[in-house]
Amino acid sequence: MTAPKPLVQLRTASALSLAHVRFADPRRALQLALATIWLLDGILQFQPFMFTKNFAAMVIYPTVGSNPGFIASPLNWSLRIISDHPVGTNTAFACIQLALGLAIAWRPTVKLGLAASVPWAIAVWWFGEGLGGVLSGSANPLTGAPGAVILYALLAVLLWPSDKPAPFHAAAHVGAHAARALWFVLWASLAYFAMQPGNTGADAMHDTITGMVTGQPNWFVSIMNHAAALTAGRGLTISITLAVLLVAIACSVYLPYIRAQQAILVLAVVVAAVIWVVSEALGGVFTGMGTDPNSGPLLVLLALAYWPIRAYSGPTTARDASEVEETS
Amino acid sequence: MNAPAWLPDILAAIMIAIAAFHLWRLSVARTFAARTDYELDVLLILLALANAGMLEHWIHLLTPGAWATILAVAGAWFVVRAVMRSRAAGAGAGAGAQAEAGPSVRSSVRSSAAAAAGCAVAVYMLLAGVAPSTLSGSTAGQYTMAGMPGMTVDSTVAWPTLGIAFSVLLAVYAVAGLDQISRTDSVGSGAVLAPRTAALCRIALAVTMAYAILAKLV
Repeated sequence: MTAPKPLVQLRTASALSLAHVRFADPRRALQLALATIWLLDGILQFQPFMFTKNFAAMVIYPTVGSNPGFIASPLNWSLRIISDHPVGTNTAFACIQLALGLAIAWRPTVKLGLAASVPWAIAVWWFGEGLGGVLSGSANPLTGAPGAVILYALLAVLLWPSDKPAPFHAAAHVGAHAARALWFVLWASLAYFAMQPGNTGADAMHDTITGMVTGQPNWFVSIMNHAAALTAGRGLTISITLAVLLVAIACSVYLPYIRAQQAILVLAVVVAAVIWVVSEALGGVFTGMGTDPNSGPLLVLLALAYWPIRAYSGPTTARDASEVEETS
Repeated sequence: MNAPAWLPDILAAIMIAIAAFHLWRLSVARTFAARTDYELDVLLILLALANAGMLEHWIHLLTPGAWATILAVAGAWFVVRAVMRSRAAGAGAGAGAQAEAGPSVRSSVRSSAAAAAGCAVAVYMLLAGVAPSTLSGSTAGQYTMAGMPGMTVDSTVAWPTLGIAFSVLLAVYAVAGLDQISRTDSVGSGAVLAPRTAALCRIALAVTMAYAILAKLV
């Protein structure tokens, strides 16, 4: 006697548990890390503060600053719309970010999610962040320059699904030369921003850190106060040191030795983590007013995407690649 | 500050739907001769109802203390279950049988551990003060200024660092789960009742729990 045929959808056993997760593909793991950050962004955007008129006044308005007209005008336009319709606009923003995270996590829509995240990130960078203050002279790597959101777009391009062999994951889709150039431009620009006049004052870093203290839990305030005390009066020295480190990181992808590349990538992770904790205050998420975790986790993710792949048998360094090109 | 009234309403309705779905699984699994994890289904009903109560006043079934006690006991049971199954797998008869049963046993151990972790997060939420807003009207669309006289301030959660850590874990769980159920090779043996819908329910529960925590950071 056979069992009655089920009328409901039946699937198979291994799909029962979400805990049965494998990350054999590091590239996919990087995509999932990006999806997690987008998902967190979406959830953070649903926080009560974002639905109030304070969101436009306290988060968007300060980015207008001294931006040139072609940046400030569209920024003021978006500011008016968000200020007049805070609930509708914020609902849309939150849903879009949530959808981007879920789309990247869902395998059949990963390309759709990554592709959609690029124009969205660029739009937010322009209409919501005023290009991260890059053109107004207020960009500071310690506060998330050149704008955390543009790093999402960069990661979407670099982590685009690809089976091509590459010396590091970020090169699989765009190629090693382009990937190295993008890395260099990003980190060299951070070094440049670190040396902007507004960031080299004696107490510039101290003031940046103390400006983020409000609303943080006690243990975190203690860390930030210690960091602020350490940096008081040493702004120029710290800016120069930071700029030198950032230039070294920018050049690391062109080093001929893999071990040296790895060492400097570890340095990049450490620098990003310190910036994230000390001067970005984890994106201000403790205050209920943080729209995203800021640039720290994205810089770490980027560094991981440039980690040399052991199994790769082609040219691994920029020197190897140029030798191959000369030979061919 | 609090969210627009429709947001917790929608999320609470989703939580009730999740509870109803798992109740349906429990009631029809034998009829359809399909496999389901009865203990996990019961836990998910409890988690969904407890979470709905943390979002909306009108689903206040038990006090936070009572919910926390129930979920702490449930969590402890799933820890014991994970340990028992792990030991049972270790003490299996033959190496060949172990290898054959390996993935399903590992999956069972991991799902028990995930259930225990879910209970831990829910207990944290209940003890930390994740609850429906104490404000009478919504602050959405208004100007608010925390701490200023005459301005509206909602209660905030205790131990926010733990809350953020749990929110990140819940987001990781949701993303990893979506990746897992969208794999083309997620095929094993044995019929299970609506596993993808069940997995999507767990993902929705995780995202809603993360929201409930982060929404109270004001």
